[in-house]
Amino acid sequence: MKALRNYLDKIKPNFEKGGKYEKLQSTFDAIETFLYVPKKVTFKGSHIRDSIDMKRTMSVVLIALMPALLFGMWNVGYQHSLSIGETNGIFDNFLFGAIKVIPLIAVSYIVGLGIEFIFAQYRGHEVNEGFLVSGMLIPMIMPIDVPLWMLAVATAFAVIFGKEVFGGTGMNVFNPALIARAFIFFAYPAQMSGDKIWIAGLTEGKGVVDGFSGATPLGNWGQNIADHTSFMDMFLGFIPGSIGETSKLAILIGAGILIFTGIGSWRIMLSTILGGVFMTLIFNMFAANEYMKVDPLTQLVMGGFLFGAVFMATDPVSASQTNKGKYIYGFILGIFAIMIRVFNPAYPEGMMLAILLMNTFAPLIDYYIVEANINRRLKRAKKAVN
Amino acid sequence: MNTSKVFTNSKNVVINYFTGPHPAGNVGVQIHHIDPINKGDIVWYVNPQDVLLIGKLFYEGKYDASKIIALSGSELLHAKYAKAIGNTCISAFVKDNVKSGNLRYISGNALTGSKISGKGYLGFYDHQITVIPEGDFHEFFGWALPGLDKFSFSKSYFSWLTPGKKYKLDTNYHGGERAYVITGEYEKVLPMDIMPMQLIKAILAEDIDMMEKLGIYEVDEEDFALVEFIDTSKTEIQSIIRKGLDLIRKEMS
Repeated sequence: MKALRNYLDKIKPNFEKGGKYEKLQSTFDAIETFLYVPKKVTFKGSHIRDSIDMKRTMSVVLIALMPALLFGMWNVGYQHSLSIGETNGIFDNFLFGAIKVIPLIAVSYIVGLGIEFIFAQYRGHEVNEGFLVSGMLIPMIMPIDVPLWMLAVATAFAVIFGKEVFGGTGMNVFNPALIARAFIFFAYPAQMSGDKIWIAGLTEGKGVVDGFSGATPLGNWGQNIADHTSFMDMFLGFIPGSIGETSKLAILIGAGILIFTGIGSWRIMLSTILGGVFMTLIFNMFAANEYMKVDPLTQLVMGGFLFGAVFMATDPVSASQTNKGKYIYGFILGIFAIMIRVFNPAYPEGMMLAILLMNTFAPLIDYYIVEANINRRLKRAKKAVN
Repeated sequence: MNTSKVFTNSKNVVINYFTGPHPAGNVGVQIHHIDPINKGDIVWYVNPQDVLLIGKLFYEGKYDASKIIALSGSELLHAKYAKAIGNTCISAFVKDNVKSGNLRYISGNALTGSKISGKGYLGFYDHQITVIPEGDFHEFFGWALPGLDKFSFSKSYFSWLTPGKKYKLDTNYHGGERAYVITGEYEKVLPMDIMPMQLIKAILAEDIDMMEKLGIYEVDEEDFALVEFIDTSKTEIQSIIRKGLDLIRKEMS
């Protein structure tokens, strides 16, 4: 390791100001700090610092995503096998899925990180780690057969217009990964909705078993077809859907990791779920159609509700930033997600739009929470004067 | 609660009790919970050792500048209390009493003290000398390791497996400076009705009006020392608070 360190120290001057490759300074810095935690020391204030940094934080989120991702890979293979009427082993299914999913991840990272590196250099910043998570989330909320070029365009759009135009990491209004999904949803609706896109190869229809539909439970309900997929199948994830969203068990494992490490906000996760349950119970009371009669637990395990609640709504930058605000943000978000689902058949999954909508309102919610704090202080000051 | 008779026998005083981990002992935190500062308020406070000094001056007519200081830190061979006079040079206390290596000498504690040399002087308000290792080394994949030996307020390293363990903390930042991304983190170590992130951002924007509204008068640097310690974005939060207080002072003068 000493040799690597010496080599880095040797070539470092080339990337500093005035050096041969000064235009690649941010890139060099990103690689160097990836390999080595910098030796920079404190000089005043707190002389000691916590061991956590942004790289660690983001890698914990990535680890939390792993169960859902690995299950998703297997499920891609499993659903494909079902569609062509074959029974394959766990390993074969996983391999089939991995070969399909890994290119999506690669495209998302290469395009997104490429743009991030350019902007970091342009601004003279260090490269922020935020995209390590966004870049993994983007493929996980896509249907498996999304064309690579489309994913590349969507990722570029999300990074540039979802994030960098607002000032980069920490300044974005909307969740960048959802911007990518929304972009495809509205620009190329055929690749983002319908029954056939959720299973690899189904759109082409080669060798598909007669009568195999490929519809997701959510898609069925969206068309007012009562769906009878078992709760357990939906909970464990043996259903078609976006790559990472199907296994609620895997998502809950991720949620556990995020909450235990203190990195994901349990306030948002909890209040989103409560909001969803609340809305469903109200629908149950009216029960005007079959969809409104669906019980809360089933609503929670269908579609991307749980994935959104755990991994997307909790994005600290685009969510509410105050602790009290997080409860309100999540609760309304949950309500909207279920409401859009049930009322608007054009958007079978309400979660994406609910999160983007609540991203818009998060600063407003925070504004009122901060105002409340200010008013408490003013009131106290007035009382002291009188 | 076990209170010294010195306090309970005092007349014309109100005694307030505080318990809890740091920063429960901070003057700012205590004032906030007893009678928060409003704009224009002036609050005086005095350290116990200075009460002795004042008392001696009036009872005996003697100005006794000696104080008891704590010698602390992982790199000290013998951690102990010692008697010091005023702003003494620390070399007498640390000479032959420290381990070898590149060391950081601090007048005060590791969270709020000031950096001095091994031959530096004790600050007027400090009652402690801290010696810890400098962290000026590169750590290979430090952020990716399981981190059984890494202290963290979060549970992102596996050091949560050993809750009682003692750590040797050095002066390394353990990461690069980043934009503010994580939310809800500072509130966990700031036991005041203050919105830390919003106040910090108001100071960075030099928005005097907002700073006042968010309670800048109620805080000072040391109240934000733990906030700075746990900050994932590795920013200089105590310096930011100082900047805010200086701005306010300039505005009012």
